[in-house]
Amino acid sequence: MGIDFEVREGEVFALLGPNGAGKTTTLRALVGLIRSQAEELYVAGADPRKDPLMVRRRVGYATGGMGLYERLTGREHLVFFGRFYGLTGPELAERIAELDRAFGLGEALDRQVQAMSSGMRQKILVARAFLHRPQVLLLDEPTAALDVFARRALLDRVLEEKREGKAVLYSTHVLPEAEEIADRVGFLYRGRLVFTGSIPEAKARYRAPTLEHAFIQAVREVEDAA
Amino acid sequence: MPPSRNVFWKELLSFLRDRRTLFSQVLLPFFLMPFFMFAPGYLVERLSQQTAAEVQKVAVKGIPAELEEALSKAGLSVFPDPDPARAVREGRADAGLVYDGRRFVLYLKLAQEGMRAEVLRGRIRAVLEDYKTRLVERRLAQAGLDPKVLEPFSVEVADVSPPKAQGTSVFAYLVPMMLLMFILSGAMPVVTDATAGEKERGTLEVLLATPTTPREILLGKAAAAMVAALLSTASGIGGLLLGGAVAARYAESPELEAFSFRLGAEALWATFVTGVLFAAFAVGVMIFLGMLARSYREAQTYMGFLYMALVLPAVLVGMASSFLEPTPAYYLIPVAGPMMLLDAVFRAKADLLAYLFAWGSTLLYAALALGLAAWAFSREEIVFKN
Repeated sequence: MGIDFEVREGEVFALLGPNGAGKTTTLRALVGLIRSQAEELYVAGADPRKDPLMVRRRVGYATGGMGLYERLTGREHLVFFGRFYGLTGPELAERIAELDRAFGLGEALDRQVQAMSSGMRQKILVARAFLHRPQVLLLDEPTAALDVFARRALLDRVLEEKREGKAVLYSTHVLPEAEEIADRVGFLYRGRLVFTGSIPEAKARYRAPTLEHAFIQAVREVEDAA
Repeated sequence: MPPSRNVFWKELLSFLRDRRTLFSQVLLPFFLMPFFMFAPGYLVERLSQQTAAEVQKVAVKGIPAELEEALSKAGLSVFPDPDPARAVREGRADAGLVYDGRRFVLYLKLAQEGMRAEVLRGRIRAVLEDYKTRLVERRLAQAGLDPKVLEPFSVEVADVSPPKAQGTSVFAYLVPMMLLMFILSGAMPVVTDATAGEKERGTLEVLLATPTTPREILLGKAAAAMVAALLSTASGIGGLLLGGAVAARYAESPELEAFSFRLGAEALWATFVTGVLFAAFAVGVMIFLGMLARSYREAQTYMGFLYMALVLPAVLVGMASSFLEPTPAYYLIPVAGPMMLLDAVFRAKADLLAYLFAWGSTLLYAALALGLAAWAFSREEIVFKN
């Protein structure tokens, strides 16, 4: 078994796994940044191997390892990336104002990245993924450098997007976070998806009180079988 | 806005906001070029003049009184010594002169004193030559001969190079190398930042995840790097022209005036086109190397070798300037071709074939280099190598 899962509209699917499990690689394959050997692969109605630009137009993508341009302000970042999605002028300005309200970008908008705190940087990175109102959100460890307020804002935003009918693939190794927002989860270990299902199903399958215990039990079973 | 233009403006904005790079790559060449090109010549001349005006000590043995008097009149302090060579070695004299009745031997610390000893040698030789001439004239007169028999004709040298070629005579062979060096140094910070820097910061992944092709991203980055390279080169040329104009205007001697640097409109155009083509080639190679690197520092190491690649062609151009008559095939050599073309342009020797071969081949190499860069941009094992 390799990796086999789907994320439906109006659903948050949490891809859970330790560092090196293959979460980032999976997300990169989904946006067509790396070539996948999968038999079937569809993201927002298109195959990223055949039409990567179509997929990228419909997807909001952010990973914790991403960076920003040191000499650009937060607003310049959003304008720069917005143009790739055809956003310009008042429409773009209005969208930036919305994201400011949603994520509390504040000072980060008009400050150059080199003068930003790590939390400010992460807010801009995450806001960038929401900029073009994507149908699908692929978020990889998005709360890595966020403070408690920014983290709360992001999780609320993700739930809001879900309510609006977006499909969200949320990759993390912070299991309580997944427990809070995910409808279904997938346990990824050494490049293999060892479980997919809802959180109650995971707890029942591994007879565990929490999602964290369920995940640890799943990994043990894989190791014992090997 | 097309994606490539969007990337171009972003790269350019980052470059223009980087004050240190802007200062070192754009402002510094303008002010340093005149200094590097004219200061050494000016300094050497001033030192020579100073040394020539100094009263230097000359230990002598066995020289005629008339010559001793001539040396004194030339501003040298002459004193007799039983061993002039030893006097020079021990620092009691700057030079020693011994006459054994048949020949003069001049003792100097040539290896130790360098230019200073050379100037002193020139001063003493001039006095000896003058003394020799007087002796010959006297002996000819005693034999009833006119001293003019020794000079049946005179020799004059006149430079008939076209005026366009005469403005750059002293260091024309150096200028092409320096111009290409400016292109490398101007593009390098932008390319390093736009490739290895982006990989290291994790911004390249963000950029590649946008609905844009790698080719469009590459185009924007390459265009920005070329602008930076040409800005740096224009600044260097500006500095050269300014320094040349100042040297020509205020030169106190013909030697210094020879450092003047002038470029006509035709040469400026040829320099611009050659610069653009070479910049495209250099930027393509640099982007390829930058993409191969895993970090900013590694990219700088790779690109440092490109400076070395300029040295060999520079030697070739130096030889071509004086001894080698380049055939059109020489203009096909990467890097050397444009360098030799610029040299030929400055000397008003470039013909249609030279332009055709140098520009055509550089265009081809630029296309190949940019193709290689595009290939590197599309390879996931290169983009995500860290």
